[in-house]
Amino acid sequence: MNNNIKSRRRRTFDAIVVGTGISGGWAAKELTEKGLNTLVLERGRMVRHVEDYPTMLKHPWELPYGNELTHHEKTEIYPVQSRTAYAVKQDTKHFFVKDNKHPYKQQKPFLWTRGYQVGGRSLIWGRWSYRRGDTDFGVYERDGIGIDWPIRYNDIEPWYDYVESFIGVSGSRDGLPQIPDGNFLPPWEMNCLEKHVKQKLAENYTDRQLTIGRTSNITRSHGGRGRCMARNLCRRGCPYGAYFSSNASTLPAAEATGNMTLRPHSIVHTILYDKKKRKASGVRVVDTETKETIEFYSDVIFLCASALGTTSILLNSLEHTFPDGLGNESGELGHNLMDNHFEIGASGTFDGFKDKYHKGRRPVDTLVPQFQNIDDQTKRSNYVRGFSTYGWAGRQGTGQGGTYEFGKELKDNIATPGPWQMTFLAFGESIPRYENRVYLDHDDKDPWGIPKLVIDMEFGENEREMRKEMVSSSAEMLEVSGFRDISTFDGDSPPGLSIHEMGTARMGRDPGTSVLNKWNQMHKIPNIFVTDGACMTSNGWGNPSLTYMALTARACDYAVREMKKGNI
Amino acid sequence: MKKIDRKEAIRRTALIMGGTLSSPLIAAVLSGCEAQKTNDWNPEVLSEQQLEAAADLAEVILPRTSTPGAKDAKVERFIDSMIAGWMSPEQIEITITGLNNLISQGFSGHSFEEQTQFVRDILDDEDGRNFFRLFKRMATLGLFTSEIGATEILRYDEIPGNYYGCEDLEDLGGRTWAT
Repeated sequence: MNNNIKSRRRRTFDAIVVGTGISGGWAAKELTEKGLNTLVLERGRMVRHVEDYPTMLKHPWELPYGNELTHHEKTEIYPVQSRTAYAVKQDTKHFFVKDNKHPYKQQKPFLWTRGYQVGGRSLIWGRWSYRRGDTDFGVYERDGIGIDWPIRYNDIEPWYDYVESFIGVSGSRDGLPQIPDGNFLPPWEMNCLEKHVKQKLAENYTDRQLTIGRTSNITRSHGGRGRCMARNLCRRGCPYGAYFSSNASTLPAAEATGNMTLRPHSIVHTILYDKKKRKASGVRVVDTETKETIEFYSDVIFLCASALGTTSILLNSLEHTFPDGLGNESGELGHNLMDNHFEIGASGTFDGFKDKYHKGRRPVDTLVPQFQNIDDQTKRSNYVRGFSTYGWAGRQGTGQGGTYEFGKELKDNIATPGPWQMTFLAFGESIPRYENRVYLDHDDKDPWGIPKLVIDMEFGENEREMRKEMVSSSAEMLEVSGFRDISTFDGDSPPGLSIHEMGTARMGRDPGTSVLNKWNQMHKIPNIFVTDGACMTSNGWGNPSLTYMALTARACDYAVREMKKGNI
Repeated sequence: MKKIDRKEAIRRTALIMGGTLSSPLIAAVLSGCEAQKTNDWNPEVLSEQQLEAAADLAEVILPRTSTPGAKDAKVERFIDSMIAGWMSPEQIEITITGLNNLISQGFSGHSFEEQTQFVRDILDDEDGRNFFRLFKRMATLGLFTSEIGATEILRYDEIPGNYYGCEDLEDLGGRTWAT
């Protein structure tokens, strides 16, 4: 290692951002725009907007194996990633990690789904963009589970406005406290059957309604990016930049300031701690191409490496002052891991609209927002927290025909749109529990000399009780809407599968029970900020990314103000 | 497909089949690499006879009608690639055994109507049904992701531009969307 003074100066920045996904991209943009000379570290390879999207314009017949992962890929290369079968296919697999190259350990089944590249999972996320209201930030006041969020909706509202105005979110203003409204781009259209169901739910229920999904697919050109062309091939990378990704949006903004140094192939091994100043002084990085270890220095560090990535780094940063992981005096670091549970709901067939069909591929579905445990009237006796239910309707397509049907009948069946069908799929909140945790196995290291992460989490009784209503309410909503042949499903939904893993370095008021304060700043080390999913105090019913963006922008603003005051 | 890829595919096929398949079957699979050499395409695993049986069976399942059928889209080539690169060892065994059973009964020498009856007979036993289900899945995937299948049987809309939820089916041509 070359540690002479000149070299050290070249390796010294105002700020270091670890990670380039949803949170890291935002931290890079905000800090560079505020004038900080910022080093942005990414453990994976470079992915440039448009030019590194190799499949974005491919026809179905240009992809191998009908776009399905092979048996070998499913069993040997992507055994975990391929469980999200809707996302990982021939056209998108290059944006997911090869499980056999990036090992971790499952104490209990946990499907850790990752995208190690510049842009991270912002390239492949679901794009649903929801604000959280005080039904979420104030949830502890109602049920006393976990700890209280140190913020409320009014603390984060201007930052939701700020990030939404930059990324562009389409949706309808629904006036519901559990999904506060923003200044949306025009919503996507519901199809005939969804409009019918919306009407029927309005006639039959006072507590729930069908809304069009809010998504960061832009329905008109916005911020120099082109409008969505309804191809619904987002996870390949969008040639129009029509959905939010770091690559299309925040990183180009950071680049334009001239203040960003983006360094791919850089795994953060540990954070360097200065005992005298009681602050972090920088990071130690392993260059995955040269295997070289390099140290970088800065006044402030933003950890945006994803919930479990960030917590791994903190747990691996063992200092005399912090023998249980950096900044971990509360003992809560690594604990209270949460994720949404789903794979449960109902489907049915609808007789009607036989002369109607859709045109275009809408990149979002509909939603019945949470209608349980949001106030006294909706309190449930058998579980706390709640769920929202996604719904999508359409005519049956190429999956038609009986199992043993063949010949002209089969072909005609497939070539003609089948009956209208609708599926409701419920996403539920999990409660924070201390025993759901991650830790490092210091005796078993990964190819870069970093102890492997062990994940030990399972859903519990509260989630199981909630699932009863998740399935029954899905079927009920189809019943009251006049569906036939309604069938319910309750599939295997191990943690990790929804890719909303969060917690393990939670925010809170009390340094004795939390890792971060209300500014996403470590209680014990004021120049470290954690603004990815690790910071989350409660889980919510789903779709956390917009909240990570808002918290990141808010924390950056605070950090720079504190730096100017000389407090950091 | 480049030659080295084909060799590698066959090598792997032979390796993974070693434990579960009889040697004549391996020979049949391996012999495929020497057979059926056309100008622009070479099979990766199937022999000429196996390709013919696969093409005929796919055509029975998805025949040419007023629109193109499996043979028009050369679905047997797709199936060859799925055997070579996509399937599990068990699926390869089911497919190769099923095709060889058809060959041993002279399947391809019969008329389309007789071949249709063959397929009905296949469905009488468990092994036959397993083979049929897997083969049908491959043939269907191959046909409807092919250019002919997606654009001439179904309707393909590469860049829709927008989403419209409630259009008249007739105005849209009455056909299922390919994607």
